[in-house]
Amino acid sequence: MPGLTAAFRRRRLLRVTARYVALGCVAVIFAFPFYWVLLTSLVPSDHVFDFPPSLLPRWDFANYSTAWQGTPWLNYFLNTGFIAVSTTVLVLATSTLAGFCLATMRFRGKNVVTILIFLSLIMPAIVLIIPDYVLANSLGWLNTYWVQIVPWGASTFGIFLLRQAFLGLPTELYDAARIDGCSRRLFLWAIGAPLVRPALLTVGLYSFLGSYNALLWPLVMTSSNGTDAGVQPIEVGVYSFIGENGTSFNLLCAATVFTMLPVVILFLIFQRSFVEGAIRSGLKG
Amino acid sequence: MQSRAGSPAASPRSRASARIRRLADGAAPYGYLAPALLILGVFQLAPILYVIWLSFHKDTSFFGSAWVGAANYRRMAQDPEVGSALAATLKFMIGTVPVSTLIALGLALLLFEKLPGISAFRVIVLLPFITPVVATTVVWQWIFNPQYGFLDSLLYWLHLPTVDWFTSPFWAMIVLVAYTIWHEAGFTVLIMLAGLTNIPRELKESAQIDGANAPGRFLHLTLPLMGPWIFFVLVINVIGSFQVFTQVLTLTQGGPDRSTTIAGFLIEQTAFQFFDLPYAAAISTAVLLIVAVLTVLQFLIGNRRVFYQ
Repeated sequence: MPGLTAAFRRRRLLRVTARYVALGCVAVIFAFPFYWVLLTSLVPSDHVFDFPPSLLPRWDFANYSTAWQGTPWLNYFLNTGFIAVSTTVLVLATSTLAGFCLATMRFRGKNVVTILIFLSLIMPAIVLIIPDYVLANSLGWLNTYWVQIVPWGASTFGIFLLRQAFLGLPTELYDAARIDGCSRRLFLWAIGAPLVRPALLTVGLYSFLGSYNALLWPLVMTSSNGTDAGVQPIEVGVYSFIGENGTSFNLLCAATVFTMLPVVILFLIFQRSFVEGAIRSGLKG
Repeated sequence: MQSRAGSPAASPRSRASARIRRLADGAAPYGYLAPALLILGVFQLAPILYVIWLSFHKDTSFFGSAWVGAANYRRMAQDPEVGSALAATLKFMIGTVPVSTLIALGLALLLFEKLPGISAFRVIVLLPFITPVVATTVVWQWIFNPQYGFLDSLLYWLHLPTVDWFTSPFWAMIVLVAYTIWHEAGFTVLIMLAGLTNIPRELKESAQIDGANAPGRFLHLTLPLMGPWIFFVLVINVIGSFQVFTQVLTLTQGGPDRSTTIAGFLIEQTAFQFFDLPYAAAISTAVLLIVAVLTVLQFLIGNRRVFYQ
């Protein structure tokens, strides 16, 4: 019936258009600060306090070179690279082992262990920072790389996500491997891990992001040696930079852009697997 | 292929080796769990006990520290700063939790459809969450800069009164709340999307066939099935509002007049700027208790309304 079809198509077109309009508004609200920081980073210092501010970029890159000098950015980046990669590797290792165990093995006390792991998820970080500081002090770990890596080497999110992933593998796979004489350890590293790659990617990216973006923990656990970066990571560097350059928003924005860039690029590369992995984590079994 | 454990062991030797094999199997799980449990236990579970212990003492050394009983707690009860911090946290919680959860649900519904280019929108919504707080608060400070910032320029251009965002306790809290909602949205949207993915398509299709319209489907099908996920987001948000720190540090520094000094910020300040660790430990323990009570309350309320089968 031609009449009905045309009306239906019109209504559907309206609905889809409305959806895109809504999405567009949301995108503008969420993305505007990023546009604004790019814009301001390209404004020469004599135009920063122009009133009203221009909405279009001026394409002056001087801020970037000014912001780069005077602060040991390279050291901050290297520190963060080392810390974030080490933490991520550690988290992937511990989460895979624990997740595999919880998914495939039966043993006494399994429920207790699961509860304990879940408990650490809901422990408020702000309550933990004080005793962890005292502990780090007595271990001699203050102002080192150790304190920024090891305490973050296990993640409840990671354990549960990997457990879900391993639960998703067919049991015939384990049985077939066992019958062929494959040890459990070999199975895990040779067969199981490659099969749960999406979960590994999600956990890895999440862990890397957490490490890269950290401020409270490194701020408390490390100290600066004057102008030297020491073992401090990038966000502490940004924080000090803000302290030194208070109102020079063009410089602040330039620094913000080049310190945000690595993590944004990394996220854009892996965003599909990350989003899918996170969404799929809700699926039962 | 020879069957091994299946055949009855006749000789003592094979019985012994079977027992050893079973023992090894029994111990193996703990080997797999040990690294994770060690790290979690040492750095995220055991410290709770230490914090509570510390709150009843005067200094941090384990041996030879002075027991002061409830002195820290008595001081806390009379400390106006603690009271105002709790009030500020409450205001912050009321501002962020309901709005954030609603927005997350709405955005998830919007982002759930398989429209072309939808993943680009998901990425945009996630951008504030994956970028460092220190970095994004710089832009927010600039946007909300009195006089020269984008917002006040916009207000001026619209012939509306400009606002001194960071010198007014009310507006400073608004900015903090708005920032936190903007920052957290991506994460909570992901959780909601996971929940929506869980709703079986057959249910939606059968509802459609039975003649239910979109609002009806939402109210009676989607919403109840999203119950546990909404609940989960609520719990996380409540716990989280006590811990917010970085944006308080970089946006408002707890001001003006300590009006935005939320619990998390107060604890960090007391412990690491005023270097009064035992007192901060007492405040932490109080926060832990409040969070525990709130979480239990939420579970009690939630259990009745949310978890049905």
